[in-house]
Amino acid sequence: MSAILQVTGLEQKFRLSKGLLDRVTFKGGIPRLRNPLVHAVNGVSFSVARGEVLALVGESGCGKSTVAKTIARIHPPTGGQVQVDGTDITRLTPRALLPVRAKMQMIFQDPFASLNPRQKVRDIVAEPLLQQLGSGRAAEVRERTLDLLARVGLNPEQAERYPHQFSGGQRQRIGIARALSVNPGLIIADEPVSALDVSIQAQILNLMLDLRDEFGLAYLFISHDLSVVHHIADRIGVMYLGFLVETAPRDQLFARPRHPYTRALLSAAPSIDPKRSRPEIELKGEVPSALNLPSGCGFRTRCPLAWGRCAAERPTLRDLGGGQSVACHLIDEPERDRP
Amino acid sequence: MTAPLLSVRDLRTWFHTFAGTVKAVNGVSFDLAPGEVMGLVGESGGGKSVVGFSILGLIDPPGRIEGGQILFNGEDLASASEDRLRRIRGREIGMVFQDPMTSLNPVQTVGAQMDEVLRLHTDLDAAARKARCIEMLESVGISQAADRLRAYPHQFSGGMRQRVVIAIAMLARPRLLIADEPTTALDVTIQAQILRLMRRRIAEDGASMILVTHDLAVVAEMVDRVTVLYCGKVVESGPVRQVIDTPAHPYTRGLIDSIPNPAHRLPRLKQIPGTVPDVRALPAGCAFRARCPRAQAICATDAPALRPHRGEQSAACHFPVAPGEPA
Repeated sequence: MSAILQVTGLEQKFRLSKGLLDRVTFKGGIPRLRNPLVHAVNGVSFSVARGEVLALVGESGCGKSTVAKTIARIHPPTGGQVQVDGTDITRLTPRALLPVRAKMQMIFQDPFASLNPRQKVRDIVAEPLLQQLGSGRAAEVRERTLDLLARVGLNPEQAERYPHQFSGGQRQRIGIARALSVNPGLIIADEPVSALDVSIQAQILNLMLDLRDEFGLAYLFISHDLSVVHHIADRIGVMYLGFLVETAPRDQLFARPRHPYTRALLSAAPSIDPKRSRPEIELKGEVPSALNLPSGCGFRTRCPLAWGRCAAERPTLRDLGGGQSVACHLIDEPERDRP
Repeated sequence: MTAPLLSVRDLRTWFHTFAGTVKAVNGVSFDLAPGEVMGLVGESGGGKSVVGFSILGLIDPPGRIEGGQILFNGEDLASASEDRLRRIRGREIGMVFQDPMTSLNPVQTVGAQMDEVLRLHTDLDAAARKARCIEMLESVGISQAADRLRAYPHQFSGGMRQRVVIAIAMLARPRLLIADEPTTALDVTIQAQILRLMRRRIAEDGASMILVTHDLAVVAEMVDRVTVLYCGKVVESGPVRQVIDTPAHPYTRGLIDSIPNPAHRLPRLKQIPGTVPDVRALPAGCAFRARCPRAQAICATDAPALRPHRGEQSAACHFPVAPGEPA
């Protein structure tokens, strides 16, 4: 089975667009120009198989949303390669990207900002398909639009309304219908339920899983919420400071997390379940700035197990078998991993 | 039982908008004992934040407290003068809000903002105030506190800012802390740090806390007792473990079931059908009935009152869920 999405060594650096005066620093009386770079994504590789749900988790600033937006070519990547269904899209022009957009669509976090307030729902959902087919097949597009709206739980009368007439959960349904319109194989969902109340969140997650079974969709699902990710994902990738630090099948990651950050993240998440084990690793301090990456391992400044090698050498993702990969020097020196 | 520190009786806070009257809080009652931590939970529009703001006397037009009592140490805050409320806020009742950036003044140093609280609410001299500020910042885990007093809010990260807000709220050693979604804007590892810190500070001062949140997992780990709101009314209250393990109201049950639980993964999440009704035009009877799997004819005509259910647990439902019974 070939991968619908293959990401290799993806890098994304943003130049901080500051004025000249902000960039000037003086060192020993000599003016220098700094060019601050935000290292948002630092060499991330993974693949998503057809029909698979891969979730990327991590905290704010870890680069998970930037990965999503770079794959969707909202930002062109500064390094690495993205292949969608075997096609390298890294350097395609916007026009050449159009057929790729029929294979890959996106659902956004904020259901209020991601729908045009001046378009009717029917036009919002039809837009991607009209781009693909051209306006000559408007009648066909219209029929499909109503089918899609019905599929996500909205009725035909609602197709004539505007986004502000809908609740957050209903708007997210509209966004899902829009993404489905071109019959894509891959949907990139960037925090699709984090703006929703928990009872509505459950409705949307159920809908997304039903649609996956029905249409054979693959999802790249971006989220900060571990319980949501556990529910929806087949495989999970954990990101920290722009690095992918661990990937594993869902149950394996929750049962046997290997990276100290994954372990800290899992133990920090509050739970309604009193039987859950208490914190194994408690993190102090905060995430370092992506302007100035630490040497070696990105996590070492907060890692309670870090030693000299972690500052000297950046760990790479290594396959542990069973689909689990970890970027941590502890793999070589397990005796340092004291309980 | 000791006398409650706070006793809210039939509180009604309404907002008179052009589109109609929003009965955001409509007959809410609860007691809070000294040293107790209570969670106030519900989804958007439940009225949980408005309860907090009402206690603090921070309801602005078009909102108005239409009726009911807020007895704090026996004194009714609902009818207290603005002058009296100003003495109570910050001194007797501390506040922590969701967004630490907007609750701090961006053009004043952290030290100046902390000093103001002590100047207004204590008789300490300048040196003693500074010492207390430094001690407080250190107690919330901010190192080099003396230097950090001269820093501005933007020089702190989100988690550090929320620590500062907590330090300010606890400065005058209030007897009640109202925390409205204090960790919702924070990452999960920072959230864990802040929650630990708040629990420790509350316990050390022997203060009570009302934690307003939408997050039942946070409630499960933080509070002694929980009050669940739906459409401006209390639908259930009780000891937190009892409510989470054996919820009596179908809404509470639905909320708990719709949280994905890594320990018991189901192929589909249980969901509450439909959406929250328009609070400007609430249906007669029980506001939850249109979404409720147990609703019967009486639910459309009679609004259920909050009644004792099991032990200290109460529910406002004509057909409460018994322990072990399927919803």
